[in-house]
Amino acid sequence: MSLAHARAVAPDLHATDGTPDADRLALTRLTEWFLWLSPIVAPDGEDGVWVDTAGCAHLHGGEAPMMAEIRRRIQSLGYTCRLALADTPGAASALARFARVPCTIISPSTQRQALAALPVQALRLAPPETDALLRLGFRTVGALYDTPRAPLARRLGGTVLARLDQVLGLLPEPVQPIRPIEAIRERRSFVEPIATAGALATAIAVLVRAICETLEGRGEGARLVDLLCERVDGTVQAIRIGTASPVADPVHLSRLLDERIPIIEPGFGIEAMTLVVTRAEVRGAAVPTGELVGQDDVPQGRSNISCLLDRLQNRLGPGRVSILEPAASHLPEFSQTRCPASGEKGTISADLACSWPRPVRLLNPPEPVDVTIAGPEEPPTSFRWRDVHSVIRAADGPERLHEEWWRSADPYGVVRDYWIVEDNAGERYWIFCRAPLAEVPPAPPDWFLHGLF
Amino acid sequence: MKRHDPDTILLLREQIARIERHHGASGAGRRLATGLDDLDDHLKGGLLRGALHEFCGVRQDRALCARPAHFAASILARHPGQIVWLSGTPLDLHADGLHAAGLSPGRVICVEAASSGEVPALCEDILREKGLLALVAELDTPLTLTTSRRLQLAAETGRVTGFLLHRPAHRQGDRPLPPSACHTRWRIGSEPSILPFSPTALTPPPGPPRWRVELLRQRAGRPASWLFEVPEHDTPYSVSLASPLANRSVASPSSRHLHVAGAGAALP
Repeated sequence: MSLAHARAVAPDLHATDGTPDADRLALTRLTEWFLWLSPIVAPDGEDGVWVDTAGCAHLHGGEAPMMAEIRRRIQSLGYTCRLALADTPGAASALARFARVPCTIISPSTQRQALAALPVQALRLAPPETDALLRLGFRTVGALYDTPRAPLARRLGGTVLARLDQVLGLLPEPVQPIRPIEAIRERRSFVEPIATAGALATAIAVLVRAICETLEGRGEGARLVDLLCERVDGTVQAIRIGTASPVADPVHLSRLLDERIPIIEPGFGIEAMTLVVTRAEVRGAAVPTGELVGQDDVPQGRSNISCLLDRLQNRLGPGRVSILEPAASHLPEFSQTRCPASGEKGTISADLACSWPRPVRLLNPPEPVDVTIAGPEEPPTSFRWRDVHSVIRAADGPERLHEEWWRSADPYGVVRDYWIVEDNAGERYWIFCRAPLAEVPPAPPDWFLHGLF
Repeated sequence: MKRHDPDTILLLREQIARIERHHGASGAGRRLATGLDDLDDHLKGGLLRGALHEFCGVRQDRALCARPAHFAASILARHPGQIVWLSGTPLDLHADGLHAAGLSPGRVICVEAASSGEVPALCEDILREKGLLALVAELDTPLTLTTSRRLQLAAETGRVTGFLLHRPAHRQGDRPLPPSACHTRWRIGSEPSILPFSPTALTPPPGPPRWRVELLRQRAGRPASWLFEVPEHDTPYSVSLASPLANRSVASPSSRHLHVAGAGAALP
C-alpha cells in the first residue's frame, strides 16, 4: 500500500526516510559480529546473514542449542530474528524468510519436502521472473519439482532452474566470507594446557609485548583489547579491556589485563590464547612514562595517572570516573557536567566560574524547610530542617535567579531568591524561596535548603 | 659511651632521622603546608604527606561534611598535583564551590564507587598509586583499626596523602569516631560571627564566617584548637583562610589579615 493510503488508515502514522546506506553498513557490522560463531560469515541480501556453521554445532552442544544461543545473543543486541539451519545456503535463506516457525532446522533428507511448501518468492529470483512464474500458475516451489525443465528454461530463462538446483543442493553455491578490517592479533598456543594465574599472566605479557611492538610501528594505540582463551574443551573465554586514550605501553596493558585474570575460568586448561586489538586509534605525542621526581620525593611535571584511571574505569564501569566541567547555566545544580576523565590535565576556564559565593556541596535535590518569615521580602527568622530548629541571627541576600524559561515553558516567571543565613550557633545555610513572580494573589512561597557553607 | 659527647649524640640523631626518613616519617618538605601559620607551627610544617588525615563536621554538618570539604580543598589548592575524590554515594560536589575554595575543579577526578562498601578497597588501590597529590575519600561508616592501618601503609607506599571525610548517615552521627591509625584527626566546627553594626535591618547581614578548627588527635603530637576567620573577599579567585583570632578580639571591618597572638592554646 502506498504511504497516502497508510496515512488515511492511521492518521498519526510516523514516516521517516529510509537510509539504505546506513542499513547496509549496519548489516556489515552485524555480519562481522557473527565472527564469534564461525570464521565464515557473509551478508545475505539486504536483511540477512549467512553463517557457515560446519563443525561449530558440537561446540554448543548440538544444533538446537546452538540456534537457541544465536537467537539469545541476537535478541540481546536488540534485534528480532528468524533463523534456519539447512544444508545449502539457498535453502537456509528460503526457510528463514518464509517458513512458518521462526526457527527451523532441517536435516538433509527432509530438505526437498520442507521446501516444497514454500512460495516461489523464496527462490530469490528477480521480480519479473517471479511474476512470470505466478502467471504461469506456479505458486509453490514444490510445483516446480516435477515440471519438465526444457520448456521452463525456454520460457523463463536459466536462472529459475539454477536457483532451484542450488536450493536442492545439485548446484554448488559458495558463500563469499567477508574479510574483517585488518585487526592486530597475536596468537600463542601452548604445548600443555595452562590453568594457573601466574602462567596466564606470563602468557599475557608475551602477547602484549608483541602487540605493542606492532602498535608502536603503526603509531597507533589500543582502545579496546580482547583476550580470547581457547580451552581444552573447545569453548572460548574472552576478557575485554578498554582504555580512555590510545595506549601502546606494554606495562599499562598487561596491568589492565592482569586485573581481569580472576574472571577467566580455565576449566581443564587453556591451550591457546589470542590477543586482538578490536579498536585502535592514532596516538598523540608520546608521553614519557618515567616520572620526574623532585627533591622531596614529590612528583613534578606531568605525572602519568592514566593507568590508574583506566583501571578504575574497567573496574567500576563506564561513567564512574569523571571530571567536573562547567556548563552554561546559572542555576547551581545545572552549572556543571561530568566528562570522562582521560588523564590529561585540564584547567577550568575562569570565565564560566561563578563569582557569587557558592557552597562546596549542594544538596540534590534541594530539601524543603519549614520557615517562619518576618515579611514578604525579608529573610526568615527561623527555620526547621531535618527536625532541628534553627533561629536565624543574620542573613545576606537575596540573590535572584530566574528559572530557565527558555528550556521549557513551565518555569516561566518563577524566580529563586537565595539567602545565606547564619544561625545562633554560627552554622551557615544556603536557602532559597521559589515562587512565581506574577501570581495574584501571591501564594506563600516554598523554601528549600540547597547547601551548607 | 661514658661521657655524653654532644657530637656523637648529634650523629646518632641524624642517623635516626635518616632511617625515619627512609620510612617516610617527618622531614622538611614532606608536609602539606596549610597556609595558616599557627596551624603549621603546631604541625611542624603542615599535614604529613603519605599519611591519612580524618575530618568530621559538627551538628548539622556531620551528615553533609561541607566545611571539612572546604577546608581540605583550600589546603590542597596550595599544592600542585591531581586529586582523586572518591565517594560511595553519588557525588554532590559543586564545581563553583571548589573554585571559591581555591581549588581548580579540573584537578579533581571524581570517582563514584558502586556502593560504600567498596570504598576502603578502592582507597587502598588509589593510595598505592604514585603520581597523585591526594585522595579525598568520603566514608559513611568509620574504618576499623586494621583497615585504617592497611590504608596508612598503602599511603606510605605511594606517597599519596589521604583525606578521609566522615559522613555518617543521619541518626548515627552522635557516636564518637573509634580509634584508628590515622595520623591526625580534625573536627571543623563553626562559631557565631561578629555582626557588623546595622541598626535598621531586621536581620543584619552576617560578618565574616568563623571556623573552630580542632585537632582532636595527632600521632606523636598534641591536640589543639584554633578559631579562624575567613575574610570576605572581593576577588573570588584568591581565597585563603585568615590567621587566627583570639576568642574576644574585635575585628575592624577593613583589615584583612589579622595576626593576633595567644590564639587557641594547645590543650594540655
